[in-house]
Amino acid sequence: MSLVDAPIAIPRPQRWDVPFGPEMTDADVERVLGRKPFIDIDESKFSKATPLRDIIRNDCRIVRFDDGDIIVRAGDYGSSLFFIMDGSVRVILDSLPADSLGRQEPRRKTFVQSVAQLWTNSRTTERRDVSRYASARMNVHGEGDRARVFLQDVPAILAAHESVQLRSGEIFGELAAMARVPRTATVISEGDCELLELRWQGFRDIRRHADALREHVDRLYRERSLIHHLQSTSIFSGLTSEQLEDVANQTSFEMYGDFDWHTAYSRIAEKDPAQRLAHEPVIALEGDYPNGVIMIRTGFARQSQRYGNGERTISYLGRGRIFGFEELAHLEPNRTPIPLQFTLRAVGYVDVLRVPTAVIEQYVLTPSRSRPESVPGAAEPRLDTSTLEFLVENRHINGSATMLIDLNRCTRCDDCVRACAATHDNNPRFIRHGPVHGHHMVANACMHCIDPVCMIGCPTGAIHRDPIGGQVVINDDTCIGCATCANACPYDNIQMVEIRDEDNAFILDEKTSLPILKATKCDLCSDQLGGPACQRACPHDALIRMEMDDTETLANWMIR
Amino acid sequence: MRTLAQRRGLNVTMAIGLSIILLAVWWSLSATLIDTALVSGTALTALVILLAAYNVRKKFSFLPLGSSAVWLQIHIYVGLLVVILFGVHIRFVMPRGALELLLAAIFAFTTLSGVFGLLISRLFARRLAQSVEEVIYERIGGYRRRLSEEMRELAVQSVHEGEATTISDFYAARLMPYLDRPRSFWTHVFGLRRGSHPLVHEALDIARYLKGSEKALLDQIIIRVRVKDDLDFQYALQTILKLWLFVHIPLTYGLLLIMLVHIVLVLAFAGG
Repeated sequence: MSLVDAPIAIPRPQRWDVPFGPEMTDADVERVLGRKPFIDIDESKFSKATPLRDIIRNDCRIVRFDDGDIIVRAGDYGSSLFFIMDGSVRVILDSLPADSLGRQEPRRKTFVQSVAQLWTNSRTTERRDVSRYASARMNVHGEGDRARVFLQDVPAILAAHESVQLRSGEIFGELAAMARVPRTATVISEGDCELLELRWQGFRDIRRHADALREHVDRLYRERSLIHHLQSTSIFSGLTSEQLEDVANQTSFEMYGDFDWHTAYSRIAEKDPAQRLAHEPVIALEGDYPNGVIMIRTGFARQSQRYGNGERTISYLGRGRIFGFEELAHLEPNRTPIPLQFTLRAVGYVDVLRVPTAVIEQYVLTPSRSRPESVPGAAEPRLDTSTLEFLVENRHINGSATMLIDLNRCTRCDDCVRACAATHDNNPRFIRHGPVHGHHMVANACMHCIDPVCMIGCPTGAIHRDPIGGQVVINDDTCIGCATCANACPYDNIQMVEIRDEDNAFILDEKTSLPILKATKCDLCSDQLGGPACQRACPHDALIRMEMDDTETLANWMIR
Repeated sequence: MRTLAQRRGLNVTMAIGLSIILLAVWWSLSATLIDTALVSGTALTALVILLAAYNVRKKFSFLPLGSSAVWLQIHIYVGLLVVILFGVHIRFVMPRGALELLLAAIFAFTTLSGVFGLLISRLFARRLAQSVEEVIYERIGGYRRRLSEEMRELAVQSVHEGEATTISDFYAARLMPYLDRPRSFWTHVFGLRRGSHPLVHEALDIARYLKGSEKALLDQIIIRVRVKDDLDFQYALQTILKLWLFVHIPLTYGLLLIMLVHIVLVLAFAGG
């Protein structure tokens, strides 16, 4: 055998090969361990494989902010929480103006503005008016992932908005690190401050072994989020606030899968179906007796059933869906208990609530209470199994506006592409190409994901959800072209483009003379009247923007 | 959500109903002293302008002018009504004047090209959906060049590995001409072929002259012949799907122009 054919041997990749903060030193670790709440944590409870010190060294980083710097913004998605090491921060309890957070004000063109596009639209591709950037640049300092948006005139902002101060030793951002939910408030630095940022992986480990920290965070979670969630669930409708509080106290919350699933998605997608399934942690196993009802809080889960030597996907459950209720309902008088009929697996990352059987019997399956008419998650979708497998394995179920094309009706006229270009700087924001199943294509267009991993890590907050329509949009004025979002998108639906001036010349970085890049993607024509131009432009009803969680509408469209 | 069949049924019913009403009105008006040609001509002009406006709607996709799909449905069924109205206008008799004959001919060709477009839109789309891989029209040339290069490399490799020129001779004589441009255009358009491309059979025929490593290379070549055939299929159907509009739209402009001349002449010589 020649040398060329010899297998390459490398050390097995380990969890901490790439630490969160490469600059963490021994001294930093000691300093952190000497501070509250870490000083109260019993190091002996941690396993030898993941000792507390190594978690601090590899899953933490020390970050510093100047006065007025925005640390987290309300509405952003994150995967870490913060301990205040030094200084203090201000949590702004009401909403700040969008432009001060690096975002754009939601705007929709009037009819006159729509018509005016006939003569105002540029003929140049990706033309930008650079004078717009001047005002935006004033509020950004630093570069790359160290770029910070800062607020001007902090005293005036604090005077105008309700806020609370958090001091050294306190925690914030724990909800976003525990469950993939948007940050609930904007936090700014009050004077210079030093924070310890702990990524979710380390937080999970510490939470498991540090009782006080876990109780503290769990309490915050129950108070701030859980009761509201239970209240909006059909099976608990009609319960009094005391009963709901009791349900909340007995409900446990569990996390399954990988918070950073998007980083390994492409690699796992290449494996065969059995291997892909093995990567999806089991939340509940078919044949086991149900110990409670499982409610999906965030993320997606695959409901499957044994078939031959494999598992057949029956449906997928998203936020608000319930698993295991039907089996428990058999516990009603004169009915024999039955085991779980399906297996539930985490697709990517899933955050679930488990309400114990005793609680369901006490509050829901009582003789005096009528059974809920519809239990979300109980009905099986009308989609065929192979379509479900395709949608789940390719994670298209994540989309709230997935572009589906019926190839049996699509004449490949590209009217959709031209319409998109006409409404977006003469450059279409999608490619009429993508994975095909049967005669349906999922085109390469932003799906406006329910779990928008592209929104994690944007240093300026340029990528955000539109506060009105919920679309994931990019504020071109504050995008610094770092490509964090484009690299994070597991579906390759964000493109970095070189921008041009009115004369069609590239706009260059004055230091490096390299073209300035901007992230671009489908914005669902959020500023246009009438909705997505692509869908409106299709003459043959071949293209639709589909909310994948709505399996009924999806099935109706696919089987029409 | 209404199914496509339900929508079609509803639209056809409406179109037939309106056509019956139209014919009834014409029959009633014919019994009076009203100039039915003027009435039908005015209605015809308005509806033809409405049909032609669809192309304007397509150009200004950023304007809130309703969905293109609704416009197309209106275009199809109003087009059907217009055919009947045209018959009413000419009293179902072949016109005799040169200009009128030209107008009728252009109208007929515009209508036929529209019907042709509708048919291929429905039939070709389904056939394209059965392709091995979906390819964007503008990328077909690039894929063909890549296939051509891969085949050439396989042919060269076969000479090294087999120490014979069997595959390379086949490549030079049969594959190179096949690869240099799209082939079997009309065969694909009319769906005349059943089974594999003849070159696949020819390639299998030379397999008896090859040794093991060469056969593996030949298998790779056969795969690429099939891919090229699929590309040619996509090219043929997508070309027709794109080109028919270049017939239908210019005919429409011609129709509008001759129609204008016809109206001017009618008004000029109306007398009274």
